Amino acid sequence: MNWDLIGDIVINILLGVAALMALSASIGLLRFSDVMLRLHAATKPQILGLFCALLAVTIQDHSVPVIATYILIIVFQVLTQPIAAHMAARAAYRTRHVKHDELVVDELAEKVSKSSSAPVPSVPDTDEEIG
Amino acid sequence: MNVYYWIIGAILVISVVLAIIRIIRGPSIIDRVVASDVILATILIGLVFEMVVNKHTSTMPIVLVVSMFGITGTVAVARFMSRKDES
Repeated sequence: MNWDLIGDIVINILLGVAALMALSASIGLLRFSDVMLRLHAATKPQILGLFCALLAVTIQDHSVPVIATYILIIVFQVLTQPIAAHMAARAAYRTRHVKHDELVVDELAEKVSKSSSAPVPSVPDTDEEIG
Repeated sequence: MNVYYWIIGAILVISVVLAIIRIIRGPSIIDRVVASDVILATILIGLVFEMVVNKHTSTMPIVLVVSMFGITGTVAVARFMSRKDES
């Protein structure tokens, strides 16, 4: 058993997976019709692609600083990217860029119409939080 | 193995180009922000890929800092987008 050869094969497979994640995200960005669908496509390379690529680096050089940086990067990605996606989806909802006829269930609309006194769901401009 | 690395690099370049096409065509500013997030993630993957090819780990701190501060652009645009943008 040649462990270097196995490590090289695993590293290259992981790099290929990461590159395919990036490609699938871009194709999804071009093909999908809605901000929500595009967000769904866009989150693939941010978590799984970066995870695979960094795992390739840590397999190649498994020293303590590299593994520590790897864990830090993954923790920050997992912490920050859902927030970014949430903010983007929220802004898209509030600026009416979501196709409502394609949604199966829209719980936010009920909340908005309940919380606002106006008959039409009025969305405040920037500062108040709705959901 | 050299050919394989060139193929991976070409895939990364193609994905960046497709995301740039979405930035150019995107009907709303949110589409553009999401596409620029994809470009950022692809650039991170490209940095890591370069580390693997050249067998060093000196750009690891850059990847860390970009993954920490990549959120700021999206959140800033999403927060300060006004309702007047109906484009």
